[in-house]
Amino acid sequence: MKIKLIYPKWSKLDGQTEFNLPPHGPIVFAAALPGTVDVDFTDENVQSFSYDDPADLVCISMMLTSQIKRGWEIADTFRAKGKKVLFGGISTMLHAEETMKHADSVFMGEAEGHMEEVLDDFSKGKLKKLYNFMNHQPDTQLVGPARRDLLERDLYYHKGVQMVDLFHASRGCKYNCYPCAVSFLGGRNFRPRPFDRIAEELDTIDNNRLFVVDNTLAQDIEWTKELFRTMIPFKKKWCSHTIADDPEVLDLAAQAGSWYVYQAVFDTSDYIKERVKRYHDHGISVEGTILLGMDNQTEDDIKRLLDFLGEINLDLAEFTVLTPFPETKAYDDMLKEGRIFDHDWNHYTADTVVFKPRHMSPERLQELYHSAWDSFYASESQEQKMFKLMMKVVEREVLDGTYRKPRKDLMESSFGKVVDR
Amino acid sequence: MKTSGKYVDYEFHFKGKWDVPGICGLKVVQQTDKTIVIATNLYEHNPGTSISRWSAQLATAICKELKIDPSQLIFIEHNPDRQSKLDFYKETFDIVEFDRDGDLFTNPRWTRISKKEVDDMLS
Repeated sequence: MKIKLIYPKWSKLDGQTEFNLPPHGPIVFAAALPGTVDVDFTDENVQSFSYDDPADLVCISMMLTSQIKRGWEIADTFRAKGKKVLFGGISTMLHAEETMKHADSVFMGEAEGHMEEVLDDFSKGKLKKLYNFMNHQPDTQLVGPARRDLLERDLYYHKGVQMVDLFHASRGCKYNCYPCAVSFLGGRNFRPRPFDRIAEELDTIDNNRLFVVDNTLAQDIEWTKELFRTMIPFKKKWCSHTIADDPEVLDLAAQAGSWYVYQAVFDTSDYIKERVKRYHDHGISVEGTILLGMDNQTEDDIKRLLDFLGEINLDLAEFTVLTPFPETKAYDDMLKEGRIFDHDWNHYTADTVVFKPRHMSPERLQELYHSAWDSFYASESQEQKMFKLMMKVVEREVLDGTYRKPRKDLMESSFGKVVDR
Repeated sequence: MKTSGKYVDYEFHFKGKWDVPGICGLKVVQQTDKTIVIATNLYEHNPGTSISRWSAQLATAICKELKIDPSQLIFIEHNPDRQSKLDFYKETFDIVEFDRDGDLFTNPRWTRISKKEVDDMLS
């Protein structure tokens, strides 16, 4: 059986340098397919495809809300040509009812252990409209290694520098954060992968830089320590979301190659200042993630927050506006209060205000969003700060003998497109 | 998450969106001509759908299971204080009104009410 697996393109965050990382969801899904299936993968952010590409079944994997309208468009065209289309992935699950209108089948849940049934139904011409495995989360022993062999690896380089590979060590989240849907998607139970499977996957990744995409590395202290001990021998350097605020954990994280973390900066407290300092004390850089438009933020609060960023020595900052994604408390609250005015999912990119903020107009919040980017990067551009961050990791790689020089044959290429050096 | 208190007498288990099991706090007060139901969001103690997202189906299930006359239902959604400095985890109460299709509730609409208003209703 031949499957055409497509990852639809989306518009990148306004104001941020455009990077295309190798997709993770589709290749994790592909690893769950029976070995007899021939998979032809297209990441539409860096590749194109033809609707006449040979395929028995078209699978569309979507991560972001801003991908779904393009995904539906692709599906509608394939279905008009008589192809069957199966949807899966994070944003499929967030928008399942709508997606069913464009699909022959929608898959809810995690693919491992379930795809034989789906493909068997397809082979018999009995593909179900809905496969609901939300209550049947797989044993994490079954997860991965992801099928990175499906990626066109040379397309994930910018001027000779390889982008990080995405990797995950756990699923599920016990927390209940306001703008986040992970507990809906992966369940409220923290479900770590076995360490031998983690090591097996790390060993297969031909990249010395990773993005550990677990939504937090602070769910279980002892597990996190053991994860880092497992990672140390591989000498990878990696970025991640928050790491537990514990001296031993941070020390092990640094030994395991923690390069920088995405740390939410939600107020101007000493706690945040000290949190950033503790990362820095362990040689871990910090990219602040700053969410604008929360109900507790007035215009003055946002201005104070922006001033505060200059005091805490962030290495980078990424600004987003609160976006009420389905299956989050933010969505529930906004819906209850009738505050969502824009339901065009293409605008749910976290750089566009789609709701009425509590303390200012949507237009004013939009202005503050743009001025946040401008003010943080006024004295030193994002490219310059990223270069500094890159130099830090290069120094560490040179010291431990893992540094790879930029690819000379790709120096005039950025994600497959020719650019000036 | 504390699952008892002034507005929670017991946990109510329900089948949420995509059949995922959910739990909310429940208090039911029978009065002469109405039945006041307070459904409390249990946040991370609830493994499934939030009560806001599932309010119409939840109200329908509660009426069916507890044999409440749907025409007498006063449905209040309660989000308890999480002792957070963030405003969106402060305690809130909303009266939820629905359209009715027989025994089924549809089209929820929320109106914020104060704690005092809730207490007055219960007294």
